[in-house]
Amino acid sequence: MASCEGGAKDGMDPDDKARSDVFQRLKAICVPLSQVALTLGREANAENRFKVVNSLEDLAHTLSTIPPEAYSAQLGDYVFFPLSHLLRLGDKLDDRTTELVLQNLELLISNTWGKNLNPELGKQMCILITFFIDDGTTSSPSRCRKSVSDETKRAGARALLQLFKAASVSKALRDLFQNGDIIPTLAHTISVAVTILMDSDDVDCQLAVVECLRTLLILVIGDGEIIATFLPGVSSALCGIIAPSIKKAHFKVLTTCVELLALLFAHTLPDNDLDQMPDSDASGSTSNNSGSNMLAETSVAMAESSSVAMSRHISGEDQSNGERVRLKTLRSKAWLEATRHQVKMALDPVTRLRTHQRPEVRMEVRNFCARLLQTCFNALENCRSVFLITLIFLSSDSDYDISFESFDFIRNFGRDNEEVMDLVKEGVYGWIDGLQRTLSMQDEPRKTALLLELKVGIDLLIDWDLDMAFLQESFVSNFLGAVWLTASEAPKIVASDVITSSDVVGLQKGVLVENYRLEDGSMTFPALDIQRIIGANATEYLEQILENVGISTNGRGILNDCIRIVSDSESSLQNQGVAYWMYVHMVNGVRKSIEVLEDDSTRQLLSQSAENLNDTSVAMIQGYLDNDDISPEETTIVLLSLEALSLSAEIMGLDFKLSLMDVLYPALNLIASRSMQIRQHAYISLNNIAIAAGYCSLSELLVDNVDYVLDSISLRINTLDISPRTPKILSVLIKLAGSSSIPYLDDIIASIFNLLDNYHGYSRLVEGFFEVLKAVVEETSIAYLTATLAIEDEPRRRPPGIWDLETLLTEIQRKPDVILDNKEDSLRDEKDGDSSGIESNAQEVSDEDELDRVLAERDKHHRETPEAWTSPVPKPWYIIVKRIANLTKYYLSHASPSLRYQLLDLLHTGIPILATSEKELLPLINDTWPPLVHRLSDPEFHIIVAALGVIADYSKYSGDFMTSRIEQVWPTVRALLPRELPREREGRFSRPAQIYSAATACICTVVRHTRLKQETFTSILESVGPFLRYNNDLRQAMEEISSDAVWLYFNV
Amino acid sequence: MSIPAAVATLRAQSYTITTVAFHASNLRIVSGDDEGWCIQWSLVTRRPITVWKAHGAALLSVKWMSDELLLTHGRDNKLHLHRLDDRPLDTDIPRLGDNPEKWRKPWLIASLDVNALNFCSAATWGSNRIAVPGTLDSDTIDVYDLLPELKRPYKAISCEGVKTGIVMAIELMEDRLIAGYESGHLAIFRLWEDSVSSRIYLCKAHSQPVLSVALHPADSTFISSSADSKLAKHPLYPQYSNAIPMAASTANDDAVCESACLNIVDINHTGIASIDIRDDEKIFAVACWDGMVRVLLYKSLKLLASFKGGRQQGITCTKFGRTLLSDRSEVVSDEGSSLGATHIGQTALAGVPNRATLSSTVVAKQERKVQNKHWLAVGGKDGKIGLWEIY
Repeated sequence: MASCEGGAKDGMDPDDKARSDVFQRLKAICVPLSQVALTLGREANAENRFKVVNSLEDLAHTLSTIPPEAYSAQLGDYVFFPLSHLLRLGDKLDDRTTELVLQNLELLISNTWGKNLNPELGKQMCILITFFIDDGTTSSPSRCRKSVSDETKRAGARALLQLFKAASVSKALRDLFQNGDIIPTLAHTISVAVTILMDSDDVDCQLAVVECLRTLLILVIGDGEIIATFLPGVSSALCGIIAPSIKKAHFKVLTTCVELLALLFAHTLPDNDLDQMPDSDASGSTSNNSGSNMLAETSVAMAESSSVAMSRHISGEDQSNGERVRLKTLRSKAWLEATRHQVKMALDPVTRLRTHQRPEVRMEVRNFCARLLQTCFNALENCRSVFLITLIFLSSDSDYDISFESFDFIRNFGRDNEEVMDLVKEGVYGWIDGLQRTLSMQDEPRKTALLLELKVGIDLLIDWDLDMAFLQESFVSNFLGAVWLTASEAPKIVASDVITSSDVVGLQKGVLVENYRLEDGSMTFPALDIQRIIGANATEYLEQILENVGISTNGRGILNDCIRIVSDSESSLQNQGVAYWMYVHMVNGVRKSIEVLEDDSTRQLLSQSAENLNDTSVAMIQGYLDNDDISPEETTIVLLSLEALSLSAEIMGLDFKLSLMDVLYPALNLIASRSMQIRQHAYISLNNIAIAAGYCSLSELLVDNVDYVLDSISLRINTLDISPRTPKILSVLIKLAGSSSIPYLDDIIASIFNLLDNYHGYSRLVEGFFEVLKAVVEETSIAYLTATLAIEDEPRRRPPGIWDLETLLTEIQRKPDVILDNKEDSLRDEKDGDSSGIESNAQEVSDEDELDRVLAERDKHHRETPEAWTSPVPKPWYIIVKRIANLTKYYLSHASPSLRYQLLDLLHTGIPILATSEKELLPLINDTWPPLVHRLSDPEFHIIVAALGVIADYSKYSGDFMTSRIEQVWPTVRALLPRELPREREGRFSRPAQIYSAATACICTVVRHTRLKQETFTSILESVGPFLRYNNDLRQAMEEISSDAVWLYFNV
Repeated sequence: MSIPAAVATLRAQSYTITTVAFHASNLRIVSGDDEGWCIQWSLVTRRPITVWKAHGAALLSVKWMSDELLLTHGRDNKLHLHRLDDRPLDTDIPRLGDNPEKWRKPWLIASLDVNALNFCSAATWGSNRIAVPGTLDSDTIDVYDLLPELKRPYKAISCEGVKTGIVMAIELMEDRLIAGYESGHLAIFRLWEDSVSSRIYLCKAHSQPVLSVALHPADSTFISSSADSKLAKHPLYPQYSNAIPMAASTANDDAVCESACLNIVDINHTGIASIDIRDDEKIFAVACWDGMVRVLLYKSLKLLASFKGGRQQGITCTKFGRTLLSDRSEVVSDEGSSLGATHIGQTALAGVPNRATLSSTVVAKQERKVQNKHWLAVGGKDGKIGLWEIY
């Protein structure tokens, strides 16, 4: 035996040495094995079998551990010898032995013979292995089956795989397998393999089979003509695997099957071979018929029968001579036509895999389509669109690689391919045309998928820079028909239609809308709902489609169409809304694109669009200011306009400052809307405007541009164009901007005075306006707080108290009038002289001027030079505050309790400012006194409390000027005092408790600052006596005036 | 009769606005008030660009002599020529009691002591020649050339032999001087070379002092208004141009040499001040003492619109913006954009990289919008300037 001789030579070099070692090891196994094998033939008892199995296992182990450098063909030959004995036993071998034999064969082929395998041996082996793994179902399903285990089949498939692999690299072997003579053998092998593939449940086995088929057909045979003969059987088997059934194929199997299928088609139907295909069957009608018959048969038959048919067909061919020639002509035009049809049917299961959950499978589907488009573009022209659509579908795959590769492929492939472009165009046209249908689908995933396909299609067209003029018209009209925008929730009506400053603070802190705030401080709008679309995805895709269309070369045309519809007063509100929605999103797309690529024409387009957005939005919002009664369509328009303003600001950045004068007031007005949605949108819009224009916050924006807002308000107020929102916005603004707004306010305040005259019946307006006026007073008082405090702290002339009993007695002797202040005297004189002017309502309007005049005259009288303005508050502001304070006297008896309270509060805030000029203060006190006293009998106790506070204020700032007034009002106050201390359990906020504390606080202040007649003091002391024990402050105040009297009270 | 749209109010001045003037670019406006403060406003941002105290007393007039040169005439008997370039100056609004020295002043190019006793504002011709009431006698008029050095080519022009009272309003042309007098007289003087002047027209169109005159060279006419309720239109080139010798020879009375005006209308409201003819020369506006702005057709003196111009109190002056900018809008917009940009920048643009292209196009667009508006500015006694858009 040659191998023995080879092995006997003792190696001289290390390689030989290793080889010899290996040989020795193998010999130790092979010799006993061949003996057992021989005996097994005769005596197949358990012991022998066991021995064989053991030996084979050892052999397999040894073979797999041989170092590669020790491989040699001779070694293979040597080992094959005992195996051949076993092989000869054929059917007699039991399954396990067969498996091991096959395993060893695999190892032998891969490790020892490799490409040096003897061709004849190779052919033999092919036949043998096929024999071993064939369980008989292939040739005749009815025949009693030989049982072959999956393991054996797997081992066999692997052995075959190695065999074919060897053949793929060995020319001699390949020639053998390409020889027509072997075709029947191969046909059998293939049909067996296909059967295994279909029947086996073992993934590894299936994988090995597919791999085996792939190697044989593609790498070994490689000839399209021959592969074509196997095509029907193999492909239908593969499709059987791929097609969804109860038996779910493993994803790896699926992947390899799809790949093999692609390779098969690519090899049998490449465009390159088209030229060589005869028009019709030139070599004879029989073969043609048989060919098409075969195909027809296979298409109908199931996989197994088809492979039988195939082998029958091939064996049929076998009988005639020169099959090679005949085979050459198998692929004719007619054949192609029929095959195409079959392929198209086979595609369906493949393309269904595009939604398979494993990305590997989806990627393979992508490869399948890409490969076939590339190789068989013309041959499979009927399938092009399926490939393309599948790829387009995969272009929006969740897996980035898949989506990128898919998109990238079509993009590059289609770039120079008109037919592809046309197909995509057609697709896009179809999708757009069916948009309405798509959006009304109930099947949400399908809807999203279609939208995504549309998106990818458009992206492709844009990428190829194709003219989409064909789309322009239908694009807009289809969108208008399909999209039905609705406000995203049933409009939530907010209880009040106005903002308060706490609202603004709340808004600033983002309480309402925190979720939408992005890192840079800007916010995203809650998406508008599109009817019939559930879930944000579809909306998002639609928006993305629009954004991309915006960038396209035809974007401008579509943009123009949209804005034309928006500004066309003939269009319906709904259409206007949708067109504007489209416009906004398309412009947004352009805006995003400019971050990536900068060119002048885009910039120009952007700035033009920003201008359009501004103008359109302002025009559209205009009609809905101060209006809460608006339909959902109108709401949508308002919301869109607000989004558009925000977008415009983002585009224009700091330049948007130039638009603030037109935009701020309308947006601010909408913040005061009753609709929660509008409110929120307006707030987000303003916030984004603030951020875009370089401000840190909304309030900063407002403060810095208060002049614009106030001017807008002023213009409206001047034409009596007002609603309850106006004063609310005004007061919020004044509070936000503080005293910096006051210089702009004088004409607004004048208008308010005017309005109060005209609209005094509308209590909401009146209250609103007084809130504005109060804000003005408050801001003035804050601005000059320190100054007014300084005045307040000035040491006042302390009233000469009643120090002791003697003084007391002397005081009692005196006439009360003597202690009155001169000022009071003089004013009283005037009052006498001009009493009608003060008392009569008819002349009240002129009172103020009258008094001014009187006072001015008096000043002139006393001093010749006009007195310099000494108050720290600038005269114009002071005058404003005074006019406001003066106005209260007409409204203190207003029917609205909240207004009455507001007015008293206003007086309370205003007095410290007014006190900076005593000369101006006293007439005011004089004027407001009568209505103030009336408030002590107000039905609302909190108003009484506030009135008592104001009385105390008057006393504090005007001192003895109040003496006679206090004495007048004392009985009223006394009546308010409770008999006894309010009970604790009623709580601090009960009516008696509140009035008690307000009255005693008032008395404290009054006795401290205003000199009173002895009788009055005594009366006061008597009234408050019961409380002195409990009220330290009161007791102190009383003792400051007369400690003796207090002492007396307690002790007598 | 339509009421124009109120666009905005420029509010800042604490004192009565006495005069306003649009810049040739239609992007800016200068106002002067009773206390001598001048504010240059941007019509784009509607905020002050420059604030300074130009005079110690009320301003009589502000006039743009060129793109950068501003003439101010104050009741402090001064005439100043300022250069207002891109140099940033203060923009704070003056308040009562503020020290005016805290405001930087623009470059003063020339200053001239003039007579400002009689409320009559200076008239200008070209960028160099001005006419003001005579220094010595308020009934006369002096004509000066400002640059390169101060000259007085015509001195003490007056209507000799006619009792005119003080000069109330002057308009100046290359060879003509138009004057309105306290007596209600209107006169045209022909300005010859060599400092010789002669009266070629005299007309007593008004029963009250003349308040304003305005020229319409294209129509060869001018109109006058006065404290009475009449507007009168006069020829610029009266046919009896040889009337002077007659006037000189007939020493006795005005009646002989007086011409009749072309047209006279009574608008039934006394006190018509501040005539301004728009640059399209079709309409003009007047500020009336009843607080109304009246817009009239120049040709027929027909009333087109009348509306309450001011916010509170009364109004003092009206001015039209430019409407014929098309030929020079490009240049102007460039010049203006730099100005606008520097202004809006002040706080926010600092430290932000300049987004050149987009920025300038946006600003330019906004400016074009402003430029193309047909403005009418109305100065009010409440210190506010109402901006209206009209026709």
